[in-house]
Amino acid sequence: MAEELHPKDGLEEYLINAFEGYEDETPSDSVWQHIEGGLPAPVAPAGAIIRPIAWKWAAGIAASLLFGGIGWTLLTFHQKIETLSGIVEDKTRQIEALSGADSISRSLPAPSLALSSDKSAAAAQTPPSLSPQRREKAPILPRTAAAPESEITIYENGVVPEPEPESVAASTSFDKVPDPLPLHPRATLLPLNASAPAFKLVPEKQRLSKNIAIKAVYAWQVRQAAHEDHGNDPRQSFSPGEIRSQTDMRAGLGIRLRDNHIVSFETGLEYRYRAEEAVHRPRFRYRRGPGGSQFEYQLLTPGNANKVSVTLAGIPADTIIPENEPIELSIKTRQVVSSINLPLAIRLSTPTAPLQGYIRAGALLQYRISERLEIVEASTSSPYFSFPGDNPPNVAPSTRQSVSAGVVMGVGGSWRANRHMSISAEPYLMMSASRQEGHMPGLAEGLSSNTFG
Amino acid sequence: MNTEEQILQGCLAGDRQAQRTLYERFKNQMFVQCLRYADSREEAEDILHEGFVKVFRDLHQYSGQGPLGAWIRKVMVNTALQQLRKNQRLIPTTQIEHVPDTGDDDPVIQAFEGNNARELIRLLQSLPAGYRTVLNLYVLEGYSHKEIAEQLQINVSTSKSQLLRAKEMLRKKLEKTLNT
Repeated sequence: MAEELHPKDGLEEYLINAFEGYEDETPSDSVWQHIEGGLPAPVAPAGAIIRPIAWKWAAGIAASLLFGGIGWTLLTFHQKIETLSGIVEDKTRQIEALSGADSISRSLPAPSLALSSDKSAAAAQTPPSLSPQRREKAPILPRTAAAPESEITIYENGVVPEPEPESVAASTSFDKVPDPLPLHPRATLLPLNASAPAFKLVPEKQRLSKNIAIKAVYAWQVRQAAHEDHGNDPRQSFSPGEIRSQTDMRAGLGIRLRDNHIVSFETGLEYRYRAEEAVHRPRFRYRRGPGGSQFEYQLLTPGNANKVSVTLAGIPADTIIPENEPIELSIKTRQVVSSINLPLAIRLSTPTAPLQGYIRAGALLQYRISERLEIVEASTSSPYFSFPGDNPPNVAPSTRQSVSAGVVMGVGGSWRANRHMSISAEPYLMMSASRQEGHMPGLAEGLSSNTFG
Repeated sequence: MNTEEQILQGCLAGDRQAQRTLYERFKNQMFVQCLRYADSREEAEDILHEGFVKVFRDLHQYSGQGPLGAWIRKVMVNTALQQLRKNQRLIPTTQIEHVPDTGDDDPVIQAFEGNNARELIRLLQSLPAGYRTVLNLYVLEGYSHKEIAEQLQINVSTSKSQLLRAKEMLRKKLEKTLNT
């Protein structure tokens, strides 16, 4: 400001005199409240005793623990967990009951195995008698009604008896035909599924009252994951690599209660949309059986809620196909999941303005309201097979509901545009606990195939 | 806590009571200043709020030379200019300015013989933002045209012409008021 004075005309003098000492204008009380809200936490006077933990602290921590505990309990009951020994026992009984093949049951491991997340341990549980040589000659069970006294016919050494008449309906009824061999149990315990980091923008209208702010949430992420699985089923061999892409979007509203300049509690409701695509490329060896030339691959989803069958058909019955002809399939599936999330978190902010850093941690309760699996496309490189009629094959969509819980953590920054609005941005990580069973985690959690010819 | 020095030390130590005292001591004076720069009372309160946040945040930069009130006043002016820039209301030199028509039968002008300062504030708020800012800086804050030009990123001749137009417009408004 220049200290030099320039000559004033009449108007200028008038203005200066009019405002000289004029202080008769008073701002509203809310101005100080807003100023105080942007100030660092007040310094405690010297000698102050340690303040006891406020009830809001305790309530927030207790609520987070409570939600986390309830969620974990629900998860435990939601996902059905079968022990290795139970699966083996069940399949063994089926084989013995249907085929009376004692030799097969003797080759199975003793039913004393427990769930293990150790793949090597699981692999070590495979029946030792199923050597590679024996695997080549593993009996192939046709999907056929066969003789009245038995639904399953086992062929030894590839010797195929005369085909017998059968009804198409019976031959395609999966529920009626049990697995001829037990699936090698592969229960995989995944304590955490971590999602890739994403960013969310949170415009926040501040200060509806002294301590409440409403925020809107939008987040978007795309991630890709590759899973490898090397199946040990004698009937199948997998080509490794299920490539998965996932689009994840969220939108929601939240409320933040500020205890002081540093601590605040957040909750709200978020809607989450997730679209996931996975590609499965199983490879099988062809075995001819009675009743025609068909090969069927069955894709099981969690809890067998949605069985997807892919049938290759259409080659002439007299076509000569070499034994052990490898058949590769490419099946692209798509799943859409919608869910409603209820987060409850504590946020610790730096006492600075207008830029603030913060960390957020808490519990997340999720209600998943829909799930649908469909085949987008299916193809095969085999010259001997083609997909029937419509491609991709029709799949009856399935719906499932579930409740789960987990934790949510985030580190971010916010910028206060003015006393009414601030904008936050944070990469966030959400982890949820889940248990899965089967060969592949995620969409396809159990695989089985039946070949019949 | 009475003396300015005690208040200052208390504010620097983060004492909320000292901060409140400082605010109460200067709020009216600074609010009048904000009203002269703003379009409305609400905007003036916004400027006041932002200004005091800066005061408390940057209080350690006050060197003690000159009165504390003068230093706070300077912060308020800078805050007002920043607000106007952010809202893009400091009109560039090439833009045709719109002069709001207050009307000959504006009751504020007709009742002008009352509280001069209060009515002056309303007349100032009726001026375009660019005119009003230059008028405030030159007449009431004592800036030179060169300093105004640097502050507003315009040239000196523009500052002079804006001042002339502001005074002419204000004079007409005052004449209308005084002659009624």
